[in-house]
Amino acid sequence: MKESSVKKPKKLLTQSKKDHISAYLYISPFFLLFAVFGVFPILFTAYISFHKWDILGTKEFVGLTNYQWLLTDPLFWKALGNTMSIWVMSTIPQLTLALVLAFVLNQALLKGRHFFRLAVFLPNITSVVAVAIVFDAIFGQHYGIINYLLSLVGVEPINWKASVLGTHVAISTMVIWRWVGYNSIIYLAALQSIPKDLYEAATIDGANKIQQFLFVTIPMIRPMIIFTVILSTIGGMQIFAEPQTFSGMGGGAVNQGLTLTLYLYEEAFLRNSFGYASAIAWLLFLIIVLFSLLNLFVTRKIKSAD
Amino acid sequence: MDRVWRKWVIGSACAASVLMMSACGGGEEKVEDGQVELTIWLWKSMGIESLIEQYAEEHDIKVNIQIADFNDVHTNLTTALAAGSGAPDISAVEVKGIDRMKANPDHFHNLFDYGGAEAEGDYLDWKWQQALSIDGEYLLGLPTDIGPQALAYRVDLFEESGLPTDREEVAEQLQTWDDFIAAGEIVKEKTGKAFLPNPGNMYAVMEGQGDAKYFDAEGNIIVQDNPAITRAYDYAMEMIDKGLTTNMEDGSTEWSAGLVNGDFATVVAPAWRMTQIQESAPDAAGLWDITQIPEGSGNMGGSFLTVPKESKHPQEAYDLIEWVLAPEQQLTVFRELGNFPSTPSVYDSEELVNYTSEYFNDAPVGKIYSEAAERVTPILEGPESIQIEKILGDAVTRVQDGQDTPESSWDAAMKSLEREIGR
Repeated sequence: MKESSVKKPKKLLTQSKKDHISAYLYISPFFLLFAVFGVFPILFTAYISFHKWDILGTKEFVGLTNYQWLLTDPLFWKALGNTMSIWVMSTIPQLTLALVLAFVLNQALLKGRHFFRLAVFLPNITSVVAVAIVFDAIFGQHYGIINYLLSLVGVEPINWKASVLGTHVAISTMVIWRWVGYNSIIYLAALQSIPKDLYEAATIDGANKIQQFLFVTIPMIRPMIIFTVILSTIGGMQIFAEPQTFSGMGGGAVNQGLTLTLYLYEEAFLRNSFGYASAIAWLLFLIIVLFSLLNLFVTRKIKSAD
Repeated sequence: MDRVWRKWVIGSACAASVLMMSACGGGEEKVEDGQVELTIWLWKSMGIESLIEQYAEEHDIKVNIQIADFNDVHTNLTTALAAGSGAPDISAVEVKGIDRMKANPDHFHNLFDYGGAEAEGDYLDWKWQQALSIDGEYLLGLPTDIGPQALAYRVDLFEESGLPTDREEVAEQLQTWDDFIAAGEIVKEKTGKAFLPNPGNMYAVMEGQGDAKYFDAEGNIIVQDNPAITRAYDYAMEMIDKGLTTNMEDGSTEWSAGLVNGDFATVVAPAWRMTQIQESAPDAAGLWDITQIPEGSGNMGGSFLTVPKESKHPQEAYDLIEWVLAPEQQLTVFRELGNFPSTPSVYDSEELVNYTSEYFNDAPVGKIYSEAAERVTPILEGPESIQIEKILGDAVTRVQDGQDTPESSWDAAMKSLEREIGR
């Protein structure tokens, strides 16, 4: 190899050109895979959404009919309402709880910290379907443990599955249980990066623990809070397995557990209306974009406040 | 320089092959020494895995049985057929699923081309009709089991209520659905227990007991005008109103607990539900017995084995399913699992007639279900039956759950139905 390069003075490619090529080759796998599994499906979904297609038969071009139907479809609006309600009911307690938990786990006084840090993360890696089956039993009307506990304080058994509120509470509980640990680990990492001298200074100035938490800790980890809010928004808009397992087909008899993604899935794979399902997918995409912009706007506001 | 170029070539070839593998992994068939390999998709509790393996061993075929959830098998098959790759050599399809495939039969091998016509005489005629395309030219699959309906009842609760406990006498007492409700009221009064786990359990049978269900023979939707359906709805409403039903969903955890604790006195049970009951409530052995349901039986579920067009070995696949679904083999499955044969020639066989279930109080379930099978009036399911069944079932559930009144729940269902058909 050495000899040959010495012998040939004229090179086919200069070193810098070769570097360019190899660089592009190195990054090409991602772009190829992204093109096949990312870009193509997105564009194809848009194309399908203008058609009536049952996947096995032929496609029929219908223009914007799918979108027109969607905007006047009571089930779509119900699904949107359910998704929002479950998102609010799960995200707010989840992030608050995670923050508190992270603060507790970060205390030097706590014994067995490593064990607890591992333990809070465990729910996150448990199979969603297994979780949903267990919660299904927990929220049972006749033999569920929650109703048993409520009966001890004299509350009549609640039929969680039947009502809109009961179902949303049960599904939100599942989401909270699964994601609190994940978020508190993120917060914990952020907490540990806060310099100790800030707290020392605050202590000298006479701030108590709660004041320290509110005026030192929270501002310092704000980027992480924003990050988790955005992640929870995206995750919350796409909630699927929990309502599917808990409420079953159509999200139950009054569609109390029908979320947008569950509706999308059932339109596609149950009713074989792939065109309509694609239209839902695109509208869902727009909704998520809208929320992300809203998040961005709010975070800009917070930043400019100080 | 040569070696540098070779490196590039080998490198990019590797990268390309990695991409290829990730893009179309699993699509290739590995054939060792010319041996045929068949991929087979089934769901749980079909009970034919060991038969397939036995056949494969005897015929020197390699089989790759893949078990998934019931719904996933149908979803995956639809997707694979549409994509034109990834479909198995043999796939199970349920009766409602096969009705949807009939619009596009060319996704499957026509089993008439591989000797399907000879098997016709083995199967119940109505079950055979379900496997044919609309014009009758195409045989999409061979029938597995059927789900004739019978009634499981709790002996201790019947005794406590002063009702007969002998299965013949119970059938005698419960000749009509009016008798059924009357017996439910007695149980309610004497024991305080419900009569059925949920109203849908009875509703689903009753709506199929007429000459037609959702579709007429021409394929028109007749839900609104079908007296069998409105009657079934009214009876379900009456049972809810009298407090004879509870809200334990079939197959749920609560349902299993209810089976053991005797929270309800009867369960309408297609043959395959015997297995479900035994597995969900092993502690209730000997407490349940089985008899006939009022006003004739009905069929719920039952499946077919199909050979998707992509299979390169349709003859081998057909030979396998023909053997696995032959009368003797179906009898074996029944003995092991309770899935009831679709082959009438075994209904009179000693083995079936004398077969009793220890779990169900030594009831001669073979005899009971073959009688039930003969009482089945075949009805057309139709391509949208899954959605329609769901819409009507929800209407009943809403009232049971106290979310709606009978009239307004029915109106809501009719509105959903119009939307469903309108699309």
